[in-house]
This record gives sequence, structure tokens and C-alpha cells, in this order.
Amino acid sequence: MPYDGTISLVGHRVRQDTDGELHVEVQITCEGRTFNGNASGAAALPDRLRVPALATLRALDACLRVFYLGSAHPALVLDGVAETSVGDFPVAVVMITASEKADSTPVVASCPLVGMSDLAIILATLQATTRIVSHWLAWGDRSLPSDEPDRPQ
Amino acid sequence: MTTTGTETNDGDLVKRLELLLSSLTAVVSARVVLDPESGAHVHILATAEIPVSEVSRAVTSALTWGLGFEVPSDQITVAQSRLSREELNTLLGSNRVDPAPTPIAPKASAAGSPDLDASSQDAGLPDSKASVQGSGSPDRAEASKSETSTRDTGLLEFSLQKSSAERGGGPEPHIHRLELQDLQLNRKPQGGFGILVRLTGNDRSIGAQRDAAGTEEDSLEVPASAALGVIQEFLRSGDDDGTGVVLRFLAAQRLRSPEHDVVVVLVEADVDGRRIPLTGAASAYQGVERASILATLQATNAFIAETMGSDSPKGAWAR
Repeated sequence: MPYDGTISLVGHRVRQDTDGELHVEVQITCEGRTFNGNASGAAALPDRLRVPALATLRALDACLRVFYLGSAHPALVLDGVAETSVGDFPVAVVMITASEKADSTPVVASCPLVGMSDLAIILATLQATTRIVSHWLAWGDRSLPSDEPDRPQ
Repeated sequence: MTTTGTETNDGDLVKRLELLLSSLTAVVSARVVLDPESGAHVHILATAEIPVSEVSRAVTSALTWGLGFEVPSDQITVAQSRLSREELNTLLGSNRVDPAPTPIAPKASAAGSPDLDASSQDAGLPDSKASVQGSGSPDRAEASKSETSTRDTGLLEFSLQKSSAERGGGPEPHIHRLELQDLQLNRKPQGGFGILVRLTGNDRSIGAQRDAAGTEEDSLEVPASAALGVIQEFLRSGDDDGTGVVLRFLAAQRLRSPEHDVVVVLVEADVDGRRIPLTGAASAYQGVERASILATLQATNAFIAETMGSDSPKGAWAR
């Protein structure tokens, strides 16, 4: 197994221009190497929620480019970040499609929208994707072990 | 992610600012970065005991009225965590002291660590349906553009899982996570269903059985509630000191979009009277009931790992 590490969030940085443009930079670490992802977009809700998720996916993509061993083309597509109320409580749901070769898997995660949402969205995006990205990194485009336990992303 | 550079004189000021800010209500960690080009940046990690707007106001007031140091509000970043001060200190390392900012490489030489101005010019990536594509055949030269060596970035550090080297080379602590071992759903001819949920973790297996009337709400709420009962049982079995952690199911909702069918679960953790909202989500492509359980696990697993950490007095799991 070529990969036996974890993906961790090092930090993030948020900047908002006076013209309402939001810039988010996310830094993750994997196997002792650090990867950055950047994204920009509207600072106003609901579009704002997409920016930190997109920056996180780009950091993960940088990681995959280095550590993924295989001939397939793994991809993480951000389908959306929905803001919804669950029992009158505001929640953001990050929805992503993870694909490798012909296989596509929907992966999701959610976070309470309390206080600063950017970090929460970043953490939710990592939570949604860490398992499948770790699998990709560990197994490349080989098949999944049959006894993979059933647990959330 | 560039600026942590500071001269010696600035170092004293930074220390005083960070000490002052760390003394404010709800502030767990403060980091001040003085950049000759872009000015001062303040990064705050706070608990959720007061709203983030109040934390931000307190920080601004403390800087202005305490030390006569003005920082534009858009240069102040406040990250709020639902964890307690103690939990955050544990997460960040109990012996962690915010280090004095260290000099960094010049922006141009920080390969792959573009500042945000540079990143905002990254218009080549699709924006409408944001897609991130892996190369498949890794182009390491290209990838290295977005890679940096590990160094002090001046960022608010919030590592989810520290490497063993970061922990001082000690053994990897076991993270307690529960997994769905078995789910049996028995639809009854007269309507309604019975559900058996079995979770496993640390060589233990606990199950629960529930009956439901069979409404759509039942399909969402009963599996989550059953799973939560099992999780609570796991917590109870590891609870040595009698301190109460109570998990309550609050609500569940199904969210449908063209690409996704998602179950979102909201749980409340009551830790010695402090209420912490936890949420989780799971795709319903393998069934709503399964998604409801997986969403409940996603909502609670990080909390369980923290609560049942191996170093915690409550961390001894009954085996």
C-alpha cells in the first residue's frame, strides 16, 4: 500500500474585497507535504458558501496529483452547498460527486451554520471527501477491498 | 498565506497583542501577524459561548482602546468552534503556546503558496459547476506548483489530526469511531416496519431494535433515534467518572437536488449542561433508513472521538 497517511487541515485564510469578492485559501497536509487550494467568488450568501468548499477541493486535487497512483482520473466535483433548516436550525450541506474511471459516488457532509461559516464549510468538505480520497490514495485504481466497513464519510 | 515576518520590536508588540486578545471572553487562541505590505492581520480561535460578532467587536475594542492599535475589521478573522476551551486546548496541544511569528520566505519564492491576489487570477478553473480534476497520471512538476514544505504559515492552525511526528513521535492514539455493522429492516404487511441497528467500535458491538408506524418521518427519525440510543450506550459503557454526556435527536430532513438525495440529521450533545449542536449528512442512494443512521454517525463520530479519547478519563471503553 503506497499511502498510509491522513489528510489534515493546516489552516485557511479568508479575504473580502471592497467590491464584494471573497477569496479563500485552504492549506492541507498529507504525508508531510502541504497543499494549497484557492477560490474566489461572491461574498454574499448563498454563493459565499461555495467558495471555501471549492478552495478545499482544489487543495485535495493538488494532493491527489502528487500521491494518486493509477491511470484513472479521479475527480471531485462540487455540486453545491445548500443552506437549509433542520428543525429550525440553520445547516449547510456540502454535496460533491466523487468519480474515478466510470464510477461516480455522491459524497456529502453537513455543518451547523453558527458564527463563521467558512471554517465549518471547509471542515465539512474534508469530512465528506477524506474517506474516498484516502481510498484513492491507498489503492489507486485497484478495486475496493470487499470487507470495507460501512461508515459515514 | 505569506506573512508572519516581524522584526524584534514588532515581536514584543505582537506578544502583547496576543496576550491581550487571549484574555478576552471566549478567545482560546490569538495570533497577530504584522505585514509591512498589507498591514496587520488578526486570527482568533474562539469558543461558541458568545456570538462571533461579539468576539469580533471585543477584539476590535481591545486593540483600539487597550493598546491604541487599529486593525480594519476585514483583517480580523474569527473562527468559532463548538468545542470547549479545554477540548480546543487538547486538540491544539496542551503545551502549545502560540509561537512568535517567524520570518517567512518572500512571496515570490514561496513556490506553490500563492498569495490571494495571485490566486484570484486563477480564472482557468471552471466556476459554474466547480470541477476539480485529478491528473490521473500525476504530473509532479506541475503539482509541485501548489505544494510547499511544511512551515509556519501564519495561518490559524487547526489541525484535525496531527502526525505522530507533531505529537512528539509517540504512538498513534486510537481514534474511537463507530461503524454500522448491521441494519435489518422488516416491512410489515399491515404497514410500518421494524428496524434493527447494530453498531461496532473497539471490538464491541451493540444493537437496538425499534418499531415504527412507517410514515416518511419515521423512515428518517426512527433509524437515527435508534442509532443514537446505541451511541449513547457506547458512551455510557465508557463513562467511568459519572460525568454526563447526553445525546438527543432533534430533527432529520431529506434534501433532494438533481444530483443528490441526502438525509441530514441534527443531534444535540449535552455536556454538563452545555448544549452543542451536531449535524451529519449521508446520501440516500442505499436507502433512507441507512442514510439516516450514517448521518447520525457522521454527526457524532468526531464528538465521540473527542469525548472518548484514549487519554481522557472517560476514554476507557468497556470491552
